Amino acid sequence: MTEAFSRLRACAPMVVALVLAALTLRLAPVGALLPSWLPAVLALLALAWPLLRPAGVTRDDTLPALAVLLASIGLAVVARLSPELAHKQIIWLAFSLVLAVAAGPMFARFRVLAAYKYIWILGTIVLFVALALFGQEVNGARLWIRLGPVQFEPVEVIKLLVVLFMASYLAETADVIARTRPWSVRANAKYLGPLFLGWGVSMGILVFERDIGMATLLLATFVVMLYVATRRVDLIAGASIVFGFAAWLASTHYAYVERRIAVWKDPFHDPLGAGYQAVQSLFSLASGGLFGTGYGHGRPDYIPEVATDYVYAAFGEEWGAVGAIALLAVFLAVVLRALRVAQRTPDQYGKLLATGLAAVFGFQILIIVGGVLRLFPLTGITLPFISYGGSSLVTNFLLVALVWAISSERRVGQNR
Amino acid sequence: MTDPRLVTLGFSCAYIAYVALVRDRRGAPPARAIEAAIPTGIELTVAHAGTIKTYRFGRRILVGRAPSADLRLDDPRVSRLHARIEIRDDGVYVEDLGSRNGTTVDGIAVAEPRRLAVDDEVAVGSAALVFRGVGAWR
Repeated sequence: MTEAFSRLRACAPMVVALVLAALTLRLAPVGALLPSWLPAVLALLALAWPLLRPAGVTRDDTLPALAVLLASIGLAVVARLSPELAHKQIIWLAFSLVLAVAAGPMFARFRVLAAYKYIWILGTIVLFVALALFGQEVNGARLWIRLGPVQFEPVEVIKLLVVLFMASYLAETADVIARTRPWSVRANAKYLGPLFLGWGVSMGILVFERDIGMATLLLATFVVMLYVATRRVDLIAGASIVFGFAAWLASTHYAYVERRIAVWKDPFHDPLGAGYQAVQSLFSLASGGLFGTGYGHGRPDYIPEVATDYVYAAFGEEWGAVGAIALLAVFLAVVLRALRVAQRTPDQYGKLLATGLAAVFGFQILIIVGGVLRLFPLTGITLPFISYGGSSLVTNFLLVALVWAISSERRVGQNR
Repeated sequence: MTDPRLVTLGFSCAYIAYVALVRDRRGAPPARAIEAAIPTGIELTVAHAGTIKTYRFGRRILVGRAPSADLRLDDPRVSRLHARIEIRDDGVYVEDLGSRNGTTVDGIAVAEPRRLAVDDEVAVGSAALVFRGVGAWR
């Protein structure tokens, strides 16, 4: 098979995804996607993404296609909720696509990232310090930094940095940690110490910043990576106990967490006050039913914060249970593909990195969708690719580009 | 215009069909393209507690006092997981795992992972491990 033909074939999933995306975005209200030439430019850019890979390797080309599909569904949903936000979102989408396309070939040398493990954790701390110094308070939580005209949410970047740190640390020490006995305190402290220190700092600050959703996400990712690397069940048990204790502590000491749990238990106790958002989202989902009201025919605007935290309820109202399940299927495909990449890559670092990125992506969906559907208390994080949010879009595109780079395999018969 | 519900239903089915149909069509991952004999193990001569023996290990050896170590040295001056000797892409490296009494190669303390030459002597506690080379065996 020639190089040119294999490159053409690599575009096939992206072409299908772009057709689906175009059909979806055609539904969007007129004027929401201005300027009108931008979507066409974005489509060309998306098409260039799988084409620009190093010669002589194959990559999992469906991953970028799924990312583009999800981002366009998200754009359609945001355009329907608020045209002003859609204008910003499409600019962010252009920026993330440029970044992902530029990073695609660059990430071919992703293994050098393993060498900078303490830089990642240092970066995390720097971002937190910047957040504490220059952060802006929105809705009681200090989560944004304003850089000129753009607002930037550091925790989204931090979740990538933490995965990078843990993958490189565990790739070096996993075999030693695996052979340390659970009751040997000194040895465990020695080998797990730097890991807990690096991750604990970010965790502590997240709790301090009252971003419980992101803290839960990091904890879950941490436990998954540790288990995959070392197969030590006692660490999972320990982390679960720590999580249970922290949750109990938070629920009794933070009024804010207490309120969330009360709303989760019984949103109809105070339907016009604390429970208003939850009740409206339940009504939204209920009026959607099995097939939904149809795009543009629902009234999701009754839900406060609908474009970010509650975007899944808005989607469920207009697209129905079928559409909501279809969306979850696309998310599931991304996670499964990332795990498959982890299985196929030969080296420990690549495996751990792909697993960690899959875990961070999957748990984020689980936490926010489960929160909206009232499986557990809602913690405000974004739904990847769908929610309105620039930093979330950029980091998720980078995440997919990184997994895409890890999936590189030399083509059989090409020994160069 | 038709019922909007039909439109969204159609799109949902299209998304599910797309996800279900587009698969990773790449076969099994290719084997590493190395024609030469692949070194599968490290050979070490271990001098410890009055005996000298030569062992063939795998690609990665954990040296220590712990029962789970690959090379177990029963010596109070050896830490539970003391050092690691492993085959990397560009040679065999020894690395100290933060042991209490340290690891030396030909008398020089190992701070950073250090590449071993054949016949280098790694001292761990009172034991001496002489690196004999790599080979392909099972």
